[in-house]
Amino acid sequence: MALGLSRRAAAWARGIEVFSTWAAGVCLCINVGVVLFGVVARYGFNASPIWTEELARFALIWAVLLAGAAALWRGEHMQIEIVLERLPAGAARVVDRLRRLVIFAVLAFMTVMGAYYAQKITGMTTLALNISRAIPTASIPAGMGLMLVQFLIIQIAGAAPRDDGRSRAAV
Amino acid sequence: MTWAMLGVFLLLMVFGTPLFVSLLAAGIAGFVWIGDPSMFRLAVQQFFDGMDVFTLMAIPFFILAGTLMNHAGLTDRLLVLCRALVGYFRGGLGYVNVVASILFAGVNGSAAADSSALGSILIPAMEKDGFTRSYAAGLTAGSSLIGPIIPPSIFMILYGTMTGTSIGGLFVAGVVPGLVLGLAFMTLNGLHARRAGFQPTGARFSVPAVGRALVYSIPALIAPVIILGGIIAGVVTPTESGALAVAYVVLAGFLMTRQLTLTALTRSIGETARLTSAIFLIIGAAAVIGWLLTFNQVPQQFATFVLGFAQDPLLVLLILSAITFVIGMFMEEIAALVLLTPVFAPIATVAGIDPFHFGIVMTLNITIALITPPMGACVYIVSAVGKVPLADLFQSIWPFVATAIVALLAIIAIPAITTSLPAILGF
Repeated sequence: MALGLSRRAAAWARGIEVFSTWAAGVCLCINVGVVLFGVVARYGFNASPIWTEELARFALIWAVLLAGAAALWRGEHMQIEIVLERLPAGAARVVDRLRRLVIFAVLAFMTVMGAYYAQKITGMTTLALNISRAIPTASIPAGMGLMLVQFLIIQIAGAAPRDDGRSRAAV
Repeated sequence: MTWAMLGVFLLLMVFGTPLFVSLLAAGIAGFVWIGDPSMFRLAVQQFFDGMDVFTLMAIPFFILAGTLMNHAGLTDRLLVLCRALVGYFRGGLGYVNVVASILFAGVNGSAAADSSALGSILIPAMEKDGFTRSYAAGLTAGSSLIGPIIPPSIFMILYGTMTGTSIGGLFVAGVVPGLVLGLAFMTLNGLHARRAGFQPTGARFSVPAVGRALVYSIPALIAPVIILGGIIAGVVTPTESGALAVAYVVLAGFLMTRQLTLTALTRSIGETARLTSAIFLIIGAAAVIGWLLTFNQVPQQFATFVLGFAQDPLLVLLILSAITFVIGMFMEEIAALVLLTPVFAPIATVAGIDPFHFGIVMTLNITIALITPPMGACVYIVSAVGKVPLADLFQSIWPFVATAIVALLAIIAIPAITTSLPAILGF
């Protein structure tokens, strides 16, 4: 029963990973494409559209926040595990639980405050694209929220298997 | 409040919490300490603003270009050229390792990419050539430090963005120090080859062979020309040169070498997105801490403290350099750079240190930390790709750390190494 639940959770985590990697990849392609378009427009058509820089920046921020959930599942966020690995088993368990609690609290804080902040600035518009500032800022609650869901699923699923087949330290 | 934030950050960091979470937790603790809930949204605002910078976009571009270089078969072509240039020397593959790092650095701004890409090819080849596996791995890790010094460089993009220093100027300033570092590692390899009793290979420098290798490696050599040439000529910004490098490597991979596949391209984009996420979340979180430190006037207090007992630029540079080096040993490099730069750069300005010189010294200190125990990321990478036990590698890494420190001290003592080229090129 517990194993079945864990497998289902792992499947969900992989699903989120695939979604967040592809979504972030698309944003990254937009980012590269828009910067290249800016160069071509400047030298090819003697035009310097001011919206390219803004769109490129916002696309990258969305890519960063969306890819966070995939990096979380794959254990690719930078962290130092040397000390935790060397603690006695009992102390390591306590520290590990506290650490997970902090991760949950920080992701939840950023999701809620991010949504609050995005909602607060809905009426403001960006300089070049003239869109609501909430559109780029919404990447924070969306990305942090996705990471929060992924984090909770990882608590059930356990760590993602590494490419070399060895187990990976769970976040 | 500063000490409380530092305590929260260090405690969470050493217990294995992801760094961006450790930084954000410290920042949130700082805002709680201030005691005004209406300021909480500043944490989100600073986090967003920290990442919302056009120049930072060069980071994913150079990561992607470097990753695609491997899949496009361009890295292999660089190695062919390196073998033709220096492979005939006694202990030739050691020199090939260093020269390959110099050429690879012209496209990739990261030491980690250098050590993983070159390590997997060169460590087994060097072992077959008579080097011990731990020496080959140590040299691979050591020479990978050239990656972030010769342009492009992720560390320089970060430093330039935070201090307002010209990133193009920093790139140009890094060329000669990168070559100095390469020369230092080649000298070490020469001494090692003699001491270990390597015999001359019998081969000789051959102009036709170098010519053939040069023609073969042209597709790979165009990439650094696009990057640095475009910036020096003032045709493109560093960010735009990164995007052009990506476009060029994709075209070269599909049309010239024909080794790049659609699967490799999509996988590289995914890998770049995840790595960029890991880096940028730290940058955003560090911006929250940076705002709180400024709010508490920590940079001014630290400047008063340091300048209270040292006004000589060289002494100030040595002090800041030593602090950066020690902190870099125990903290993830990007986090160390984004936390220390806003505090240290104003001190360097007041002390009259050239901004390019200080930028390169900071970058070099942070870079050397990539191979120092206990956290050196490149040592971990090389240990994995070269299948060398970590403990053995950390024991054998010291000559390479010492060599890098000698190069660093030379670059600190002789500012002209750094400042001449930007001055000549008008930065």
